[in-house]
Amino acid sequence: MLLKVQDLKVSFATPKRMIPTLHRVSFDLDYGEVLGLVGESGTGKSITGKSILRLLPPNGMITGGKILFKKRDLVGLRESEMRKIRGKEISAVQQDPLSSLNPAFRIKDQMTDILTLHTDMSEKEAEEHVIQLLNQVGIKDARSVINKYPHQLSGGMCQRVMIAIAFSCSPSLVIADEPTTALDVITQALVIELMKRMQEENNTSIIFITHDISLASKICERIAVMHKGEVVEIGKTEEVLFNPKHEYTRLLINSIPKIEKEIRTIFNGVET
Amino acid sequence: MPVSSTYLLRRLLYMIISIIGVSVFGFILFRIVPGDPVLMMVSPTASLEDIEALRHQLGFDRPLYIQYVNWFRDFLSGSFGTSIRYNTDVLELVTSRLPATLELVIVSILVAFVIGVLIGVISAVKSGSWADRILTGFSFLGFSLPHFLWGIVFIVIFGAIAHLLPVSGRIDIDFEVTPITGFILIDSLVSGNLAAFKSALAHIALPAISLALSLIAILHRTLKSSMLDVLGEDYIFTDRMKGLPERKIIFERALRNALIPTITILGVQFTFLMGGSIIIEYIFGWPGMGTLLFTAVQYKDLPLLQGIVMVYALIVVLTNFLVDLTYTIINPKIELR
Repeated sequence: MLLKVQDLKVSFATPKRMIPTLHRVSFDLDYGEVLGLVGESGTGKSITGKSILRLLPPNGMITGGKILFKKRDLVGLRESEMRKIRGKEISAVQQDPLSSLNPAFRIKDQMTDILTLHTDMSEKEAEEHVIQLLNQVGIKDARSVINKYPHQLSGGMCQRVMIAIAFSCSPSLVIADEPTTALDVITQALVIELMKRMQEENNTSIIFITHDISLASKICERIAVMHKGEVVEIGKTEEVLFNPKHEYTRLLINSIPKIEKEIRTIFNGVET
Repeated sequence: MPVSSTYLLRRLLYMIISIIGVSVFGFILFRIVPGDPVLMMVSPTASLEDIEALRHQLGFDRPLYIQYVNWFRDFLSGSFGTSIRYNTDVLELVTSRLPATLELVIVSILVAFVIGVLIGVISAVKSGSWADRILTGFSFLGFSLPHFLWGIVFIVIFGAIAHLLPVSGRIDIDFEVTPITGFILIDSLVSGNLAAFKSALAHIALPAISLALSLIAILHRTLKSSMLDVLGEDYIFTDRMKGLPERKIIFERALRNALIPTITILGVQFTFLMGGSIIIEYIFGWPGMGTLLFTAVQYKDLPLLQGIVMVYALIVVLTNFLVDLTYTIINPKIELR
């Protein structure tokens, strides 16, 4: 077992009172497994992801529960210890690729920093490794790309760079928070494919956060459905999709756009 | 640098137009304000013929546009005319005084920038803490009083009461510093005269801080708010997710983004401080352009006045240009074309 989240509780402080946001979130994740965290906006999917990295916004705090990562409880771990885990053991890919890269620094600077920090590579070696990584995520002219600024790249390219960063230290866990929501449909499919490939090559575990249950079903082995700050249902993807136990899961599945379903049946009909 | 040659050409044209505009405006303005420069020069017993003869000799009896054309012709050939009061070449007078003013303004800006940025970062990172509240209080105070009032307060406290710092001049008269750059701080260091450097530093402290206070307050506020915005950005989350140390994130990754609006302010404030230095120089007996301007106005020394105005205009125009170039370095998204 790589990760075991047990009765996780998170609250946010407002000037007047504490607002509980996560109530007893529990799930676990095996080595090399891809778990989907699915639910509508505001159910606490991202908060769960950020809690695991211990990077909640300043007014948010973990008020209870355990996050056992490789049998170590991350809750209550010192900040300096957490920093050794972040980037090296657990990393993340965010929703908007353009805003998750610093506009004032070259791609090179934003990719070598994590390598020189967590490995004993020199600046020069890190740069060579970055070029390899970029080739690996399908960027061909890597040598010119590393000298560019984020605004000179497309959204899809930036997300490839982010994925390369997230996988660069071969972490055990990558938290992908809606990594395709800001992309167009074709790029979306390419990015999903890329993440799947990187996951398989590195045997990384992924927590895939999305509001799109049909997207989750393409990449995840198991799905956890979140609703109002709780995990209401968790199980194998097929089971959750075809035999949903919770009323909310049924609603989610019914909310998959009809047109998409129809097109799929048309395409499937052509293929078979 | 992402700057096109058409941009540079166009910009140069604008600069020339602004300079000519200022020269016309200044020329007319100084001639329509009351007071006769010729009467200032002659003794009270001078005869009317003598006065008219002098007026004719100086060319003040000709139509305004002819006077201007003559002045402009000289200006193009690099001559600013002769000061009536000092009977010296205007350009020589101005260039002998300019380094003192620039030294004062640049030291003020450096002091303001270092302190303003530092307390701005502290206020942003420790937002809402006691440190933030105290700093905000101080910068509110610094902003509330005009700089010349601060100058007087400092003279009273540090000069008259505590006798800690000198309140007049650029350096103790015992020191002899050979001018190389005209910047006394640099010249004394270059010639290895440490005692002179210390004296010059002590002399510049009070006028520079008086001039810097309001800028510190402005920088503090701007940097605090832009830093707070930047620290909430996704790319800062990315850096934290990588496990980078907070110091590197704040002072390298966040600060460069947060400085963009601050640099704009610095450019505008440089010209503002050039203006503010006039009164500060007067209060602290600082031998720069400001005190020269005072004399020129007092004696209605028209060629000198016009010369000083032209130098100020040139500095303002050039500063604005340099600030725009700085943007392209600090913010790679900006391209000037």
